[in-house]
Formats: sequence, C-alpha cells, structure tokens
Amino acid sequence: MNARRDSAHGQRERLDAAVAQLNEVILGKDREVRLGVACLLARGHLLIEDIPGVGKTTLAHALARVLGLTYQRIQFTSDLLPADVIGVSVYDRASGSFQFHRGPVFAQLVLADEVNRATPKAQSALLEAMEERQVTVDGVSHPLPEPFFVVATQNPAYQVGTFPLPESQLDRFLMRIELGYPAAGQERALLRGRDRRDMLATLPAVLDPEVIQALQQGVPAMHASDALLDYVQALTRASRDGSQFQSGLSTRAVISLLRAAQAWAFLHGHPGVLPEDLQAVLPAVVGHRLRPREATDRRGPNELARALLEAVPIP
Amino acid sequence: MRDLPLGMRRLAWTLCGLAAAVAPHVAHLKPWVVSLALAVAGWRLLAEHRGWRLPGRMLRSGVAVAATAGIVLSYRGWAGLDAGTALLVLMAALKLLETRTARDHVVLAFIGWFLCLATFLYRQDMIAAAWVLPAAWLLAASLLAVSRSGDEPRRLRPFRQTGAMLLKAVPLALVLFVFFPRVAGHFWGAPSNERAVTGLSEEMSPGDLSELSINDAVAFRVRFDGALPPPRDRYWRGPVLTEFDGFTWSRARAQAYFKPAVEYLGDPLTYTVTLEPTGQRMLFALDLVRDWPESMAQQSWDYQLWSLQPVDAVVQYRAGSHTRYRAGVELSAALSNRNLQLPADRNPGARALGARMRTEAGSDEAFIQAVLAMFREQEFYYTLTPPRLERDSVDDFLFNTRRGFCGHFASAFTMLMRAGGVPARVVAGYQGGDWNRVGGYLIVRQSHAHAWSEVWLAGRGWTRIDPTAAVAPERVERGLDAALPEGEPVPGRLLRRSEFLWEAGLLWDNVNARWNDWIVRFSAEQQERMLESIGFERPDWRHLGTLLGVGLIAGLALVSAWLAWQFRPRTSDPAARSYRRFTARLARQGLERAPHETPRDFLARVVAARPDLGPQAGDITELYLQLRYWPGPDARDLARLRGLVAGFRP
Repeated sequence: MNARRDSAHGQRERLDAAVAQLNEVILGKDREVRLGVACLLARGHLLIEDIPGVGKTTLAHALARVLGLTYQRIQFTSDLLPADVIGVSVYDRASGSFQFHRGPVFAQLVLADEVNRATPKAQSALLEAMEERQVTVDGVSHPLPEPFFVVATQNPAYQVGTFPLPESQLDRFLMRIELGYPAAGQERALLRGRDRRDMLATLPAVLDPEVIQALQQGVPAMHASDALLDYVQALTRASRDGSQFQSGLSTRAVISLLRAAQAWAFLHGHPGVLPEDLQAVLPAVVGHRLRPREATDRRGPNELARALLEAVPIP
Repeated sequence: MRDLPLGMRRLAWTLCGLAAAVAPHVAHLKPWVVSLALAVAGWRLLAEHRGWRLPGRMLRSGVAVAATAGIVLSYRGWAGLDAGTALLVLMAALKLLETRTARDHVVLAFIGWFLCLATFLYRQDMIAAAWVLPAAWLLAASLLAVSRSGDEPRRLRPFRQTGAMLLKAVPLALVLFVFFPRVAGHFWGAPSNERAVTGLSEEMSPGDLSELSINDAVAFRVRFDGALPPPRDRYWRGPVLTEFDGFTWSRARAQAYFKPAVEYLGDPLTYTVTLEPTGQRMLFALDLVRDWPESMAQQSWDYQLWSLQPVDAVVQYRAGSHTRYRAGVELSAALSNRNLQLPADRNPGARALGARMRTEAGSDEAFIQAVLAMFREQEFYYTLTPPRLERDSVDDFLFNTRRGFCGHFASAFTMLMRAGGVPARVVAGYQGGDWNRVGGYLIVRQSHAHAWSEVWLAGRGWTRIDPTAAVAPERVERGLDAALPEGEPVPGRLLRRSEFLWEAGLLWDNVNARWNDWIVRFSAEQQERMLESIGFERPDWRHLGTLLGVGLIAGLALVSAWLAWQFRPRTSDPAARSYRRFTARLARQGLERAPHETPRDFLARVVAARPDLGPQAGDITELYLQLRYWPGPDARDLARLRGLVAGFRP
C-alpha cells in the first residue's frame, strides 16, 4: 500500500516535471499544455484548431518527446488516401501471401496535421482508427499501440480548400483547443530564445508509456462526489432544454466531460474533482459539440461553452 | 424576418403591431391622417433599409407641431374621441421618426395598446373584440421580439410565448371582469355629439324613413317574459313629432306640459329591451309603456321614454306595457291647441281638403275613416323609393306624386286631421320585428322604422291610427318585404327568401345578443345580482375592492410561495447549507456570489475586495470543498465548518 502510494507520488512528480518541460518549449500556453496532457490522461484525442504558425505542430511534437511516445506525423492533403493513413496489404512473392504494411497511424502519438485538408474518406479512416483503437484490413484486425493519442490540427473552417469535419466526427475528439497568439512577453522570449526545432530534438523524455498507462488508469478512479455529478447533470440538462442549443450534449459527451474533469483534477493533485476542474475543461470538451440554436448566432465554441457555464448554478 | 438585420426586424414587428391596432380606426380617421401616418411609416422603413439618418430634433418638433395644428384645424379642436384618436395615430407615426432603441419600440407598443382600447370606445361588439384581442396579442409578441437584442429565435416564437403568457393571464382577467367594482352609469363611450349613428331622429322629413329602411342593422332586441304580442300590436313608440313646418315634423320644443293620465286596460306585457347604441337619448318601448327603470329614464308628456344619458353603449332595460289603454282622455286647451297647429302659408290644398272632408264626414270618427278610405281607394302607392317632394310636401304628395313610404302617409294623414280640427300628431318608432326562434327573442331592425299617427278623440283619448295600414296592410301584419312589390330594394330580401341564410343570420344574431347580455352589458347592476346569487350580501364597490385586493394579494402570495417551493435550493447537504449561509453573509456586504462562480473564484474576489476576511473565508472555502467534493467527508470537519461559519461576521 505504502509502496504504491510512493510510486503514485513519484508518478505525480514526473507528470509535473513533464508539464514544466513542455512549458519551456511552448511559452505562455500553460493552460493549453495542461489541457493537452489531461486529454491524454483521459484517453481522449485532441483537436487543435487555429491559424497556421502559432505552434500547433510544435505542441504535438513536444508532447511526443516529453511523454516518451513513438511519434508519427501525417500531413493531410486533399489527395491523401485511407491507405496512406492506416497502411496497405502488399503481395509478398516470397511467402506467396499478402503482407500488411503498417501505415503511420501505428504510433503512440499521431499528429494528423491539417486534418481538414483531406477528403472525408481519408478523414474517416483516421477517425475510425481513433474510435476503435485498432485497424482492420482484409478482415484482419491490427491493434494500435497503447497508449494511442491522436493530436489533430486544423485550420479554421473559413480558410480556402478545407473539408470541415462533420459533427459526428468532431465528437470523437475529447477536446478541442485553440492556441492563439502568445502574449508580447512570451513572443519576445521566443524571438530571443533558441530555435524551437532544435529544442525539440534535444528534449528529454520525462515519462514513458508504462507510466502513462498507469496514470491513465488512475483517472477514472478519481473521486467525483455526488455534488459534482449533480453539477455535471445540471449542465447536461441545461444544454438539452432547447433554449440555447440545437441539440444537447450526448451521453458520450457527458462521460467525456467527467473524464476530462477527473484528468484535470488528477493533473492538479486534487483529492477529488472540484467544480473548478469541471469549469476548466468544459470549454475544451463541449465547445465543439454545441451548435447555437439560431443559424445567425455567430458565437464561437468557447463563447457557447461559457454561455452554458453561466446559465447553470453550481448546486 | 429571420434574415433581416436587427433594426429592420424590430421595425417590422412594431409596424405590424401598430397597423393591427390602427386598422379599426381607419374608417373614422380623416384621410390625410391615414395617408400621413402611412407615408411616415413607409419613409421610416426605407430609411432603415438604406441606412438614412433620422430627422433631427428641430425637424421632428416642427412636424409634430404641424400635425397637431392640422388635427386641431380639421377636427375643430382636440376635444373628442375622433380628434384624440387621430392625434394618437399621428403621434405614433411621428414617434417612428425617432425610434432607435428597444425602449422607443416599447413606447410604440404601449401606444398600440391604447389604440386597441380606444376601439372599444367606438364599438363594443364581438367583431371589434375579435379584431382587438389578436391585435393586442400581436403587440405583445412584438414587444417580446423587440426586447430580444441578439439572436432571433424562430420567427413565430414570440407569438407562442406571449400567447402562453396571455393565456396564463386569462383567469386573472376573468376574476377582474367579474369582481372589479363597476361604476354604475356612464362608463363606456365618449361624448357622442360627433358620432353619427343611424337610427331614428327627433325630426322627420319626407324620405327620412325610407333611407333608414334600407338599413338592416339591429336597432334593439326584445325578450318577452310571456307570449309574443301579435304583429298588429308591435308598435315601438319612439319620438312623438308634434311640430310641423309644412315639410318636416319635429319634436315639440317646449316640454313643460302636464302628462295626461292614462288608464291601462288588460294584462301588462313585460319584456327586456337591449338597445344598440344610438348616440341619442330616446328609448323604445311597446305602446303604451307603464313601467320602466326610473333610475335610467323618464317619460315625457307624450309618453315617450327618454334616457337620462345618451345611449352611447348597448343598454338594457326592463319595461312593462299595455297594448290596450286610454290615454289623455282629458285634453287641455294648450295641448289641444298645440296639436292643431299648422303653418299658415303652407300646403293650402291639404288644408282645404281636410276642412272639407271633416265637414262632409260629420264626426271625427267618420272623418278618419274617410281619409283612410281615400288612401285605400284612390291611387296611392306604398313604395320604398318615393319621388322627391316639393316644399309643400303634403300637397305635392296628396295631389301629385301619390307614391310614398310610411312617413308620407303619416305626415299627410296627420296634417289632414289637423286641418279638419282633430288634434293629431306623428309618432315615429318601429313596427314589427323578426322573431329569432333560435334565441327566443324579437329582433327589431332599422328597417322596421315606421311612422304613424295619433289622433285625440273625445272619450277615447289619444288613439293610434296607422294610415300605412290602409294602403299596405301587409306592412303591419307581415313586414316590409311582403308589403313592397318585387323589384324594390328591400333590405335582407335575399336573406329572407333563403331559409338557410335566414336561419344562419338568426343564429349569428343570437350570438351577438348573448355577447351583449354577458359581456358588454355586465353592468354594476348585473354584477350585484350575480354576486348576490353566489352568496355575497349587499355587495358594494368598497366590499368588492377590499375583496379583490385581498384576493389578489392572497393569490400572489400563493403563487410566490409555489414558485419559491419550485425553485428552492434542492441540496440537503449540511455543508452546502453552511456555505450558503456564508455567501449570504457576504452578499449583505455587497459581495454577491454569482450562481456559477466556483467557491475558489469567489474566494479570490472576496480576498481582493476585503483582504481582512481572507484567512477566515479561505478556511471556510477549503473546508467546504473538502467536505463536499473530496472523498471521505468527516463529521468533525462539518462541525468545524459550522463553527467557522457561525463565527464569520464580516
């Protein structure tokens, strides 16, 4: 018992160190970095949506390095085929049978860059793999590695040449975050500091897959009191009452929300999930799942999530 | 409306509401008022569309002053309902010129409601209500739509929402309708001098009645307590016309006569009359009336009922009449004289004829019979479209045109009587009525307007002689339609010929009658009667007011209690209760916790505002979070939290 607590304590410290390490590369984005880590801990996938050049790829790459995960990057383009993602069966003359050549999706951390540039067909190949955590080719299932964490980036939908992800596929991402411009001070530090690419190459791995899996198992065990579940359900009811949103949060979304809040509380060393943990992850978890009731409503995902938060008293 | 920009959408809603409110007034507004209002509204829409600047204060003031002056000039002052309505409509239109914010739209909606109310000052029938209620609803919806600043919900959603609200208000409205203290007497209706309501007047020139007779509108409805009197007894007495200037009969200006005594014979007929507004003071009753509500009307010396107030709204009264009577057997010299007067230089032919026939007849009775026989046997025709008569109307009629309506015959007959020395006068009123089988009452329409004569005979007093009956007996027995030849424009003839239409008409009339009985005529008296019937003793307005006030307060208290119960904090967690006590104490210091604010965010705010409270508030908050959200809550911690909160006195 004691030993386990010690080991848990050690894991915590390594987790904190990992976050600190990431913050050295990604300056001024502590909150987004922590959301990314929490997303991983909650066994979810992360969607980063922002304009090009604000560090989406760097964040994904840094996560892979620091967390000690195998890393593959798939650049999504409009001519990308499903086989380019999941792999292809090739006839092997020597053995006289088809051999499956694994695609880039067989990595612990997959960066799906500019996922909305690919056609829906290629997108769905990735998204299916995300959901099933395995790939089936020619009737043979190939399990994906554990942990399996997809970080997808996409440009805002209004940019030219994009296939926006449909709602059903957006739902597969546990969180959607935006990075945004860094503050002036951080930008100055970026300008003065080392090239981030070089930093990435020398970034030490602080965690390893085994630890991560252990941590992931700790998340669902995180204590969520009745009071907190009341709050979760009150938020769910408010999203479904039809006054603000087209459709309410799905059951999957509600479970995701709780997991994310548990991961966040875990990451912050809380003994139980607090309302503030829930509030911290809520915009990232539900923002992309809510549609405003009115077509003319121009509020973005974050504003919608905030509107939902403000509509519900904490019980 | 969905895709319209906000300003345009608001404007569209408000304009729809206003249009609905103004529509019932268009008929009595001067055309220039309507045109100006339309023009301003149109300009305002265009300005919104094109983004034009609204006129400045100087221009608006100028237009407002000019419009007011226009109303004062064209309505000769601004007193009165028409001028007031016109002013309201114009000001609403001009208000559009400075309508920018939601508040301006609210003002317009209120003007709209006022116009809705004003509709009932003109008419209180069901059609008015059927129009005004949806219009008021539309205004309420527009108010709701306008008050939404941003995201417009579904287009008709404001309708549904306000509809639900209005429905919820219906019980309250019903309670107020029944219990709100009624002012006895004149409440509805504005000063009526300017309102032209069709109906009998206190004068009769040739042609007046035939004009009235093409009007099929309801004059009044009568519900008899017992059996319906036969058609020949259905003479509804109206103004008695004593003065004759050779062309027009009019009411005696002097009213100072002593009312001659009446001897009533036979059993009385009792009935209730529901009179449509006439704007005049005359009331109608079956000849000859004996009982009537004295608080409401008085009887003149010529047995006509006059209301104390002009009939500007539907009135209802009970009356009792005897169809057999001997009235004014004793005739004073002054009265006799008054009923023999003829203008000296007018209608010489008729004067001579009357005098001659009286001499030939030998007695008054024979004289009457001779004149009636003349009408019957010579070439006199009963028609709704008589030719126009010359200035000496009776001469022209008797010796020249010989085609006339009841007024012509009554006029000629009365004139001949006076020429022959028999005191006589014209009585205007209604004769007959349509029996409404459906509702069991008699409908008397304007088309039943009639005129007959009353002659004074020694020993019999004032005796009704209807010369029309001599020419067209069907008029009295079976109505106008039967009495007039094919091709005459008889009102409702088509209706009468089609059984279905006639029945439908009767049904509709019955609905209208009920409306009058139950809604419009729910007066102080009826209210009192109803309240007494449900067990209130001597309800007067003070009792009612108290009752209503207490009832409303009790009702509101109940509703509030119910709402408080519905929205009571659901948690029974003692830690949450303690924490609520803590936040309530801070709220009293002006530090209110937003419902969605997490305890730690709130704490940060508290510390920033009152650093002195920091340690205590911090302990309480952390302890609360621990108790409520962390695993394994401890009873000792709860006791500690309670103690901390109890000692927390910001």
